[in-house]
Amino acid sequence: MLAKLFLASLRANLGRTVLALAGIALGVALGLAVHVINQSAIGEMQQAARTLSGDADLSIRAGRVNASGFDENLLEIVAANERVQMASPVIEADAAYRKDVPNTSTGAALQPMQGRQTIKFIGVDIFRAALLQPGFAGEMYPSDDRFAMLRGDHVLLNQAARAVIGGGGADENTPRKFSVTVGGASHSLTVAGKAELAGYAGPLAIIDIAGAQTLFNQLGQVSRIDIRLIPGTNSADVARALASQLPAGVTASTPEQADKQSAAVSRAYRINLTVLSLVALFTGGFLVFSTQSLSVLRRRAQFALYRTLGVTRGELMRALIAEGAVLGCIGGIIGTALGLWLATFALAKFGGDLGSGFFAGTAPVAQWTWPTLAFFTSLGIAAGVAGAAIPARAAVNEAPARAIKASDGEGATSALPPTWTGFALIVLSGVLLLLPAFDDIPWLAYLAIAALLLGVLALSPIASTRIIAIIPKPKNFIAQLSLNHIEKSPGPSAAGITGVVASFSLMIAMLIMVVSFRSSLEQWLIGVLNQDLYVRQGNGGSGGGDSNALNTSTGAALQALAGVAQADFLRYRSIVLDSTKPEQPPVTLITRPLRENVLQSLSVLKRAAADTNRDKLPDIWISEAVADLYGYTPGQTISLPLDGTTHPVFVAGIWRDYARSFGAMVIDREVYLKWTADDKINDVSLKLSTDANKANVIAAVRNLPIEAKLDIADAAEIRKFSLQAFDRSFAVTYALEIAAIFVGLAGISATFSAQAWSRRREFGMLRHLGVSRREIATLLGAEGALLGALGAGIGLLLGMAIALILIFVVNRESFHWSMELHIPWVTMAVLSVALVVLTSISAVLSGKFAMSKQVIAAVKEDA
Amino acid sequence: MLEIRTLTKRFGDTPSTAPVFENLDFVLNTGEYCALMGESGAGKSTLLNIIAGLEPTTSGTITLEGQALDANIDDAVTLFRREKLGFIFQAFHLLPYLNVFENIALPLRLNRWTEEKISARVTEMLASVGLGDKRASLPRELSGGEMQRVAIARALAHRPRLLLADEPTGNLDPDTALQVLELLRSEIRRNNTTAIIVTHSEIAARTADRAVMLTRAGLKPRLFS
Ligand SMILES: Nc1ncnc2c1ncn2[C@@H]1O[C@H](COP(=O)(O)OP(=O)(O)O)[C@@H](O)[C@H]1O
Ligand SMILES: [Mg+2]
Repeated sequence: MLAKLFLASLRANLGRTVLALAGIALGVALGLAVHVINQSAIGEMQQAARTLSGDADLSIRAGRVNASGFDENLLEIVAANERVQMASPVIEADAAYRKDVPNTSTGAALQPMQGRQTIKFIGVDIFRAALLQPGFAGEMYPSDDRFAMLRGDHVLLNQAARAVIGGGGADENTPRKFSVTVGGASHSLTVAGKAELAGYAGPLAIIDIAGAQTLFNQLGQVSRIDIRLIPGTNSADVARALASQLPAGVTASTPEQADKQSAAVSRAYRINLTVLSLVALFTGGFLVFSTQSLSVLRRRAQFALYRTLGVTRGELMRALIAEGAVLGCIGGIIGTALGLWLATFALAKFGGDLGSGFFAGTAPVAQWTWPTLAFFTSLGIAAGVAGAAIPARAAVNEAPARAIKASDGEGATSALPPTWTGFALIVLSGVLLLLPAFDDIPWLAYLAIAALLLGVLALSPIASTRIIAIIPKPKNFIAQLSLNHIEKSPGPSAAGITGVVASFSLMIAMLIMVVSFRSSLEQWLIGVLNQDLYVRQGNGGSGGGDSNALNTSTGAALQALAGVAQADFLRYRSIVLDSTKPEQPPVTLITRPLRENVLQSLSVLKRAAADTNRDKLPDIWISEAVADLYGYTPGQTISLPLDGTTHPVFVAGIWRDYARSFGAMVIDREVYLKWTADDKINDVSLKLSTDANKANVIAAVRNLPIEAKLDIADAAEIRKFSLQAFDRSFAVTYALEIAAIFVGLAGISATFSAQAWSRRREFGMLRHLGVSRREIATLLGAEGALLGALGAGIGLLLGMAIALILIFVVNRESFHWSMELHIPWVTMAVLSVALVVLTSISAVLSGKFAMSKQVIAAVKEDA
Repeated sequence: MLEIRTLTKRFGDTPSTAPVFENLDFVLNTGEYCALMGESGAGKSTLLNIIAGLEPTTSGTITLEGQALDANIDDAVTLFRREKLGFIFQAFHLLPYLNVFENIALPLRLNRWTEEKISARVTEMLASVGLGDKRASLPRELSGGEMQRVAIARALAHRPRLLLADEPTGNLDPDTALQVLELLRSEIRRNNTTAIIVTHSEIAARTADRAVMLTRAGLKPRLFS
């Protein structure tokens, strides 16, 4: 019976019902879309890794993909283990395809210019590797027999690679010869056949391992050993047993552990994005709250009637909650469908990284599971129930005798949570902030933000009343009226602005965070890029790749150029600092000449005390992430694992690094060269002499008589690109913020359309008293503006508080980097004004009813 | 002061719909207090709305103090209401978020009176409706009779030329109604206003100077024995 009445009411208030539905649906859709996109991107990355290892039980690797390899003699040690059935050595490296190869069957003009194309080379012992991944066996072209592959310059290409070298991937058009550049030298290769690895979509070339070692100049080295164990063996056990035999920096991991590691790279980014998208859902919940509050207020007399007729409190409460749940469920289902569509669309259009660069180059298909969908739908239901609960409680607690006669706005404050809950939530938020992060994700900080937000929202009606009380009386009588209305009936108004406060504060918080981050990043880039020109080969290096490294003679040639005052050689290595943490991605070891001015450019945050006894140990400078993740502090001596041996080093200080959130360390190149024979160079930075002409130097670098395809970049240019990449990665957050703001505005609009109706007699009376339609519009506009201003004011303060949490807690804990606080006052002021204007406009537009003829007749209604 | 000639009102555009009233003639002299009676649905409220310029006429003319009224010129008619008319409603319609003083001051503020004059006039009105001690109360703290007294004070505060009251005692019990009617009458006299009161009640109608009956056939004088 009651259910029917309530359904009828939902239908009768169709406009508002639709609005609440839309709020929930939008929130759920954004949350789900972001989640699916992230999952799909990560899934594709892991699948690619798994495809390349086939069904190996264990893999031994030195750090991450692209990391330098390790000694191939390890193969014998591993194979000697009685639980290892078969061990397959692998070299994995990228090479740049050289377009200007002779005898190309298709003209260069026909090839799509897609910038530099790289091909991933997998060097394997094909007969062994095929046991783990049958795809490696491939299919030889008729002219070549299987043993041609042993020749070292013969490769099998997959479809994507064949497309790169020309011929559109079709067999008959594929050129049989092509060239790649490695280490500055060009190498000619023969296509012997094709190999397709299901689950790996990028350009791939299979080559014999000995050929790969020659090609990539890694004689005696391998990048990975894939292991098949005797059936029935516990792979984690073997991994542990092998760990003691492996040199420092080399780990044995199961596919599951490897998955975890690859996921860890982008985890913080993904979680931040997911949380941000949940904000939209949160705002959607507030929309339900405001629409439900209003609809409950409007039906007070009706509820009182039910109560008088014998409906119990419990029944009424359940009915109202059920109403919210129905709304939430429908909104959740619509949102889930919309979210899936959004994810599919975004993946197809922008790729898995939404432009952020975390999963560059992948174009995964949407991956989702039914439990995920169920979870996001249930979030919609939760938002609906939560939004309905507070007004429902107020409705059932009201004495029927009073409500049956009450007019709409009166006593509405009872729909709001008591003031003490606001203070309690804010205190709770403070307590949560004092607790440490766990699991490397700042869960508690996020909870603290939620508690702070809810606390401030609970206090905002009181705050609004207090603030309005101190606003001087405006001259305009109409404005006075609107001020009076909001001051005396804070209930519905406060319900209306919750959405705006929530979304605006989060927008402000994100804005301050992004601006602080951006200007800190810019400062950092200016410091780090303090030389004039940077030279590297291909997409050479910060990952620590060896294939594109330059040799010392190229370095020397650069140094010797006219106009070059100084050339610094930089080398990057991936190091596993702590082999007991196989899921922790490796840190980057940067070797470079460490002069005092270099240190200045590093933005050093903390130094070891000058009087620390350093035992003549070499200095190492660690980034904040290394300090956070490994607990190292300046003044401490640590051991640095490098090519199988460990070297004691002195932690001289901590520097800021925005490039590598898993940590980076800097040591002097001289020291490094004493330890290893590795004199390769990933980057060369050039300081020009004062009288040098930059363009001439660039031309001279281009004309160097070497094979290498050198990339020359201006410091300013790199800065520009870095900041562009930064802006791109945050672009999607702006979209989320704007979506949230519109959900918030929908709340304002719901409030005003509801009030236009519930205050119809008031407006009718005013029309009788000689208030014109335009003045009613002014009244609504002024109320909208006032609410907007209150929302903006509270939102600004709250947003700044949240920004502080984001900057000093969330970023610190999830990315392990600090930043300087920058508050963009002007932008904030502009956004606030825009919000006030928007709320004012939406108030007038949604209050159209108040200007209609119907309000004139409404004065005749018996109140 | 009020002259209605051949007034016809029909809702909707089609001439086929039956008019609420047709060819109505009515004259009200300055200072007169007239009761308007009639069955429910006879068109009393509609007539008041037409006089107030809130409802357009179908045909006929209305002149108030020599000025023709056209509800289609919204701005002019709004200003006219603001300055020259006072209203009393059955359901009081006090603004719940304004106190008694501010509710009475509402028309004065709309007419841009100075603060001083507002204060003096509202105080005077409060005293004469007997609510001097309630100036700071909110409407929800008042009884029905008190609310309607505030409404009377509001309706007359700006010294309107014409007062329109639509069943002002409809929501009150008979005793209170009588008190309010007495007060209304004396306030109309004191403020020298012309007034029309719509009522069902003969007792109420008797407090007026004369009474007219709105029927299908037009307006007829209603005489009490
Ligand atoms: N806005 C309107 N649209 C259509 N018909 C109306 C409208 N207002 C009133 N009426 C009709 O006009 C007639 C007179 O109504 P009203 O003036 O309210 O009567 P009274 O006040 O005498 O009870 C009624 O039949 C009513 O249904
Ligand atoms: Mg009527």
